[in-house]
Amino acid sequence: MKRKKGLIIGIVALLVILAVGLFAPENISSTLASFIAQDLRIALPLAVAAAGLVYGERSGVLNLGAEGLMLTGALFTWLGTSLMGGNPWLGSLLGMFSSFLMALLFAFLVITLRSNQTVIGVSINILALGLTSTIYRVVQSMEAPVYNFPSIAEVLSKLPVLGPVLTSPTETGVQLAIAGTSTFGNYLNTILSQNVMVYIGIAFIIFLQFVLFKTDLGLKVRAVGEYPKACDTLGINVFRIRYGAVLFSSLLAGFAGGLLVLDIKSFAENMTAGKGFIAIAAVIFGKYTPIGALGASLVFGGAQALQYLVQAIGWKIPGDLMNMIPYLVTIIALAGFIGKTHKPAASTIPYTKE
Amino acid sequence: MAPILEMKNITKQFPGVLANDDVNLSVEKGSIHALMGENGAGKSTLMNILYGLYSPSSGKILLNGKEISIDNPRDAIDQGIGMVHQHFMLIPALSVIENVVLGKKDNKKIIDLKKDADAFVALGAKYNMKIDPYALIEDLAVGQQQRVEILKAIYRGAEILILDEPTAVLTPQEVTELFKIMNQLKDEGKTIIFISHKLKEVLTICDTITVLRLGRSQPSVPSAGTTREELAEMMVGRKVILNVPKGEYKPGENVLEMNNVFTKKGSGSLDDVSLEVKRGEILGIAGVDGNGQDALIDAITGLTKVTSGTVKIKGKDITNASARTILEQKVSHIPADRHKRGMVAPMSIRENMILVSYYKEPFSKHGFINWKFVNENSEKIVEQFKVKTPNIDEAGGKLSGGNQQKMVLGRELTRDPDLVIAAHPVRGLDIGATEYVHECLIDERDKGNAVLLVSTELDEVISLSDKIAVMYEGRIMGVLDKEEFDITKIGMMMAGHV
Ligand SMILES: Nc1ncnc2c1ncn2[C@@H]1O[C@H](COP(=O)(O)OP(=O)(O)OP(=O)(O)O)[C@@H](O)[C@H]1O
Ligand SMILES: [Mg+2]
Repeated sequence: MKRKKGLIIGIVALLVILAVGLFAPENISSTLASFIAQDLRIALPLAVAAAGLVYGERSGVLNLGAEGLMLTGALFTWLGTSLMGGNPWLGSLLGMFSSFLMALLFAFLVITLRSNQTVIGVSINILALGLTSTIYRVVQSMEAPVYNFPSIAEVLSKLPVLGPVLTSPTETGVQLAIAGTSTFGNYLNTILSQNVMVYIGIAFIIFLQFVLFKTDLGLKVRAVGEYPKACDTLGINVFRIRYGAVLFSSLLAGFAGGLLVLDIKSFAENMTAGKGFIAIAAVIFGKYTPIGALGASLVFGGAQALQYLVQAIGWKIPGDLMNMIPYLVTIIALAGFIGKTHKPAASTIPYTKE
Repeated sequence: MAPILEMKNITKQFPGVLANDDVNLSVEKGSIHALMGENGAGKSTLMNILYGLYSPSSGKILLNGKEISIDNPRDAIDQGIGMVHQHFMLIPALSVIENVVLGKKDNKKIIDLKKDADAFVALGAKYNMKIDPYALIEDLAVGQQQRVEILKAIYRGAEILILDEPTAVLTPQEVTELFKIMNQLKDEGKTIIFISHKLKEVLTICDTITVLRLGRSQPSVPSAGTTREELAEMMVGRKVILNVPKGEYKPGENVLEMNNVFTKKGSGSLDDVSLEVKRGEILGIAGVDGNGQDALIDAITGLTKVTSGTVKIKGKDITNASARTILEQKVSHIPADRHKRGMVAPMSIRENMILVSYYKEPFSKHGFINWKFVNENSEKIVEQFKVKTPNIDEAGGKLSGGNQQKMVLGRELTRDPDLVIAAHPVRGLDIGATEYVHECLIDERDKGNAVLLVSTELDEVISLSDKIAVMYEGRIMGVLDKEEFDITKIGMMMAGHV
């Protein structure tokens, strides 16, 4: 029953969104559409990072270094993309790899050497901040183009047969065919015209949910974070599972950092600005499940997208105040939530065999 | 008949502790083989070696006459060895069936829990065990958890089943159930290694007995023809008094007084409980586990809210006072669950020894702990209560089960109490230690202090108590005087008949 609650909220939200598109006057529906589009764009990197962190957390490792991993991933995605003629796919690979190396250090220290996870996590953040800033200052003069992932319309238009049906050309490129057909068509177009990564990301997060709860591997990950000693007595290699979970989550964190770069097509020092921590908050708020983390990311993303909504409505609220909102929402969400969710029992406790 | 399992010349050296010293064990196929010995004698260590959790410093293991190497539990499981550990290895947050399939080698990538659940339920039915495969472990009672552990091992194809002190936490009824299952397994040709401190149990259920003493194995004996006294002597190396003598019963004024106490509604909550315990008296609480004993102790020690009624200690009303205020009335508390309430496992023995009194002189002065005194005091308690440990810096959790209990007892009984609340004080203790604890409790009584003893072992309650109160569903069914002690009568009251 408890699990169903999230599903019901999701369905209700979808129905409301649909109803507004169908029945609300155009100015309201278009404002809402751009709000949702912004929310999705902002939530994506958070959700991707958080869904990965769920795996680490479930295996009993709290990676407070997520911020650092994202930042590292961001710089190297930018570097990679720039060096590879602007190709975001290859750039992201480099970003993921850099974050992986960073996480390898983290994993070795906290899993093998059993150091304190909080201390090491925070150190990783400091290390990453210093490292990325230094490297960036050396190479920042590099003038090379950076391209983002293609939009969904661009991808669909390349499909044989279906391409021309689903999309229509414009002066600058392509758009979804529903655009311009009606108010509702425009509304849907604004919401659906996303970077293809939003679609891949959401599908992948659902896949991660499936793996965590329906597969042998997922069961092991969950068990190791609860009672590693018991897993040991069943012949499960606790260290291997923990390494695997932490390194896997680092790939997603690095990729998520790269998404921030591709979104604005440039890198800036400390550009993650706490997003790693918000992702950790999303893990908790999302009850340590990938889909829950996605939902939480949408809430946090929505808080930030409010800025655009407020602008659109024309309210005069100081920008600094608006910038605070996502962090405020995070704090409030966590304060109201912590204690009500089941944290993996062995979280942050290193494992020793004898 | 050739033995199915032989362990030869096994030695295990922990830092500072020689846990197994040239141990030999030979187990016949289709038999129930008891492994006995004092706390810290090395029983669990030997079994953990057999199960691949620890690697021996030297020695070899033979299965059906062939030498095998067991490097980790996976090897052991593959060889058909299953183990139910002294402290259960179940994951509370997962369901029964998830625990059962966890780490199984033939699992598909995507697991079909329903299929396993059906097979598991069918297996359970064979042994007359009914368990909801989708229930969470944390919602199950201890007895049920143990059944899950046993079925889990069998489900993985165990032919040799190790049961490490399975009866320590069971009620008498559950023990009977367990023995039925064990006999059924034996009839199927499975082999069981059974660890227990209870002489009566071992003599009833086992075929052969091997005793470990100070890490060394004694020659095995058949259980037929062996007496309790002989067995006790084999373990301890001296004669043991199985029934401790008591001084004359001279009750004084009331130390504990409870009047019409109720606690917050829930399973096992108190329902109109009135009791008194006098100086120089041991009041035993008999009852099946879960009938309000926990709430009774919590209400006295300030760990649960009393919704109505009063609790007085030495005439002072302490209803709903803080735990510290209550302990300061010279109350000692030996909790039922030592891991949750009695100790902090990763802390050293000397730190565990001052958990209650650290803030008081002479343990500390002006907010600084006086380690010199603490060390001396801890050394003294460790010696007096025979806690087996290399030194007082060892983590409490590293001690053998029985020695952890002695550590808690030592701390509580050396605090000069007026009222001792002891819940299952000899759970997991060997007979030598049991004798010692019983002596201590009787000593407290003879000194004129009050003792409240909660135990599910009827024999223990009857032999120690001056009066017995029987609890059923949170109520006191009646308080019996010494002349009225009668197993059948108490048994009836425990089941709710007056
Ligand atoms: N992991 C460990 N590290 C260090 N010493 C240990 C460890 N495990 C056990 N010991 C020590 O080895 C000795 C044997 O312990 P073991 O747990 O085998 O005793 P046991 O016979 O099972 O006792 P009990 O009846 O109390 O359970 C004890 O002195 C204990 O302190
Ligand atoms: Mg033991």
